[in-house]
Amino acid sequence: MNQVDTSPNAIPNVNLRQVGKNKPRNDSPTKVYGKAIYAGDLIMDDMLFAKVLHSDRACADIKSIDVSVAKTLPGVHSVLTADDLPATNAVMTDMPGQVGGGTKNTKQPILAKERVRFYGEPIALVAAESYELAQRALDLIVVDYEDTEGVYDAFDAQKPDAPIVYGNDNIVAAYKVRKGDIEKGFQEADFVLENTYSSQYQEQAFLEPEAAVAWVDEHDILNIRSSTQVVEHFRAVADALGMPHNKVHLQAPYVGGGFGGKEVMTIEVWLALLAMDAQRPVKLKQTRENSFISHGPRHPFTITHKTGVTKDGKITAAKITLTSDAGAYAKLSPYILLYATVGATGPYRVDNLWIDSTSAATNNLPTCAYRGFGTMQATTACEAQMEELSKLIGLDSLEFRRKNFIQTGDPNATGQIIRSAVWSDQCATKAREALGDKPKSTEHTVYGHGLACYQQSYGRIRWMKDTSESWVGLEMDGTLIVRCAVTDIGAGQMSALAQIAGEVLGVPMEEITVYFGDGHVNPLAGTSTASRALYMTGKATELAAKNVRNNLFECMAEYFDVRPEELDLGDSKVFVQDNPERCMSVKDMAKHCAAQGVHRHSLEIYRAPPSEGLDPETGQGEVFPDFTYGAHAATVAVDTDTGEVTVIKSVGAHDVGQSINRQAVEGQIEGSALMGQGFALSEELILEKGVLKNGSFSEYLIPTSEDVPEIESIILESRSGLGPFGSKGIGEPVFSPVAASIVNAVADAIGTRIHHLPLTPEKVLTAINEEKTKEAAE
Amino acid sequence: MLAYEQLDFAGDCVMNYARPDGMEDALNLLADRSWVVLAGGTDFYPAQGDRPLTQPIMDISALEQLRGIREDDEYWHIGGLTTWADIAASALPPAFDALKLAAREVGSVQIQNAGTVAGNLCNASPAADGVPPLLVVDAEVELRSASGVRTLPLSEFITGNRKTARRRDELLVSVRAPKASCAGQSHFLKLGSRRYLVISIAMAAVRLQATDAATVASSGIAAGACSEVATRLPALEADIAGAALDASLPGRIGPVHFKDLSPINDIRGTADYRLEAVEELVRRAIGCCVEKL
Repeated sequence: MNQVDTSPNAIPNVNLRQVGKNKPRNDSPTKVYGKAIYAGDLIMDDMLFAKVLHSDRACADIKSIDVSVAKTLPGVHSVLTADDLPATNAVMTDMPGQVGGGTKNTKQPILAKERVRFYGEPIALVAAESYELAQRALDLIVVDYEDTEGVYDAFDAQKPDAPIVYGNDNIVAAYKVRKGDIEKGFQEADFVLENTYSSQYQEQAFLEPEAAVAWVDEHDILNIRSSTQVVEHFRAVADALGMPHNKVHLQAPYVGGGFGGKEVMTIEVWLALLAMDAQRPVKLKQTRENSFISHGPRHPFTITHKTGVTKDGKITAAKITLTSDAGAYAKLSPYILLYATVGATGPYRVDNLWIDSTSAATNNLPTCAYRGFGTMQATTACEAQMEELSKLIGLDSLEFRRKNFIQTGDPNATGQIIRSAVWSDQCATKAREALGDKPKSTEHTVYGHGLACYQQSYGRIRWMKDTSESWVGLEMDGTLIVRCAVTDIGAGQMSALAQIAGEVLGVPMEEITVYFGDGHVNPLAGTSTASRALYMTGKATELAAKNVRNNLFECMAEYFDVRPEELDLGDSKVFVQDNPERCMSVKDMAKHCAAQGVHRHSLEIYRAPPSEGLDPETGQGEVFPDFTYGAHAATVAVDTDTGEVTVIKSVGAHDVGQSINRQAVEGQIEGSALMGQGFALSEELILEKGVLKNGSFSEYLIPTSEDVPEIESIILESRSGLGPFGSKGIGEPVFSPVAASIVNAVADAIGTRIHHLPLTPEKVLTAINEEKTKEAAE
Repeated sequence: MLAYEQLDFAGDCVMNYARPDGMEDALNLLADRSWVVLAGGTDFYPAQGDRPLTQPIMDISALEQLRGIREDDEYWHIGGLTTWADIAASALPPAFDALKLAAREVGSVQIQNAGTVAGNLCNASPAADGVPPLLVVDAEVELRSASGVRTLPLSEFITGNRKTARRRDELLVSVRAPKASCAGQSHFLKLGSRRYLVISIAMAAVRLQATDAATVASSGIAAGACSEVATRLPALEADIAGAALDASLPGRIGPVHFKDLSPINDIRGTADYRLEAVEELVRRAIGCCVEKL
């Protein structure tokens, strides 16, 4: 279903041999046969097992912590509280990875000392001969708390008399955008519509809870093998322990999902402290219940849109306020707020724009990175508003969107000119077509169609000067090796590099060995976050492979007596393009070039395009390298007597630039269809005065196999992205519009809109009943 | 007296563990001291987490005579160790269709393979899926101890949230339903925020028996997760007695029939929603029975 390229900036259609083809991923066999080793699988001699004492209250002073009895328990080797830690007792919680600067240096205590600020805050660490013993030791630790007054709402937190969570005030971050003339814009409008939308906490719910093993080796290097999205956490571990960076070695084996929950450090620093103290290997596998409180869930947002439109459907002005609950520590909240601010207007051009956004500290769970990273929450609100606006002016909702879509060359909310293809229209049209006709209502059931579009960045904030490195080498026997410390969090990061290097050097991807996830053996590649892994590490690998190719061609051109540009590589052969009979196997080429002393390896760096930040008064500037555009559409059935919603069909249509591995792209679209469905319908962490009430999979309801609708993936390729072969990032983009499309479908089905997510059966039934009452009154 | 094993973990964690293979041994041990009785373990282990086992545990899974379904002239008997998977695959008559549908809703397939009927009843959760379908066939539980046997109606056995009338020296060996109450068709419906693997917001079990003249001869109707203990709805049963078995039957149901329920507000739903939902579930379950009759 590929589109014909219409973008002015697209790379010409190249003849690809592997990239974009429907090939199984390189990591599939080891995972299917159960051979893949995850962090929690490692067993070492003399290994101890760790447990963490988490606070069972949200806001309290700690009067004393008594670990004396716990320490005497036979088989317990280490019991640590804040008093045992380096005096700084702080761990970096800011943007990790290969970012060069421009961060806010957010930190949080490793262990609570005089005060706990959220439910689940770690207080003490134990390492013992077994998990049962460690748990027994935890039970013997006596913490004397004195509850204090907390604040549990992002709006209450901004009131003058609110208790201060930490620092001088509860404002964690704030942004504003001032563009055009907002007053004039509203004057030009025929209609003005104002609505407030709010969304809930969502848990990442990765398959593999946090797990790691730490040990000190014979060279006094502290090793940590961890389930993380970020091997560069070795720096933060070293800083927290007061060690040199080169004495901490962090490896990430295959990771059972991250979704942002393993972006900021989770359990690594605890294990580092225990392993250093006990001088024995220490392992920790979080239980599912503790996992819920060991990373930050998605930020709840409250977003108010006031939009002016003309009667023929042109947006003339938008005034938007966004408020997020950052919880008890900042973590990545400032950046997530920035993403939401940039994403507040979605993929639409708004020339008269006023945005105020605020993130406030509370004594709720600290919130953090989660696929979509603020943009998703902003998209969900924006797309609800688009649907309501089209209803107000009586235009078809896609027709209305078409009148306002950003086009290539247009500025977005922060004035950044979009340079890649913008295929919002093509994607939305295809997604909606794929839904087909809406089924007819029956006795208990009504049906609805919903659509949502988006603008989601890929790559990290530009003033952080993100880089990624990769090494590609041709062995003497003609086999290829890629070394790149990208973490493989399940999306096929490793396999994609084989496919890219194989494309450039004409070797089948399944014959390529990729060393990944180990930042002290392989070149550092940065995080598998921000939809940047493929974009950045893929680009670095493509550049490195091209260097090798150029070196080889220089030598082989002499051999064939042609110019280098007359050569090509494919099917494990080098050949003259005009006369493919003149060829040599890659194996023989490697031998020949080695004999000539040709440099068959290359280490290359890819630097994301930089910028120097935003104007603080106008919010104008270049924030991201580029954006992905697309659409999601859904058909739902709503039971009008119980309020149950069933998603029947879910369609993602996205311009991915260029798919590298088709199966991986489809996997992302299908996975996001369910993750977004959970957010729209059933997932919500419930906090009462900061205390988590449903921290288990029996009460926190992610979709199961029984909830899976028919899912269709439509992949469009403009080849206009910044990534390898013109690809764009897709991990987050394909997720961002899903919930909005389902929410819009429910509104279409029941004829009224619910403004607070998720749409539980109870909320839906209440809305249906209210609508009936209203209709009866009219 | 059968000796039981003392497992000594490192440190001071000590527990007692017994796995008797004869009923007499089991009952003697129960008479001797207090035990946590372990059957399928599907409620026990998740609640235990990583905590060391310190309480005495009697694993009754070797008492194979407690597993299986049989009938005699008067009763259908379901052994206490019969699993939910056994129930779902059984040849019980249509009056147990509600129970079979519930059997497919108890946790996941893995839980259904291990979890037992006795365990579900003794755990006494207000949201236990197995209880309403057993209430509609007038089920009784058979409690056995070293000093004898007694039988209690299921409705008297479960006394509250996580509370039962079982004495600590007793085992729930079997559930039985009088054949007179096992006539007609039955149906079970539950409501949750997703399709599967979900703790009920509300549930309904209905059994209807028809006369030759296509009217309601007798009925059993029960609501679950809408009161501390799942309960029959006698006012509704009385109101539909003798009514015509046709599409008009569900229309006879109204809020008045549910006024004795006392649902709670919790994270799964409000009391008001539960009442509204259970009424609809009962209406639909009755409709399903009418279609089958």
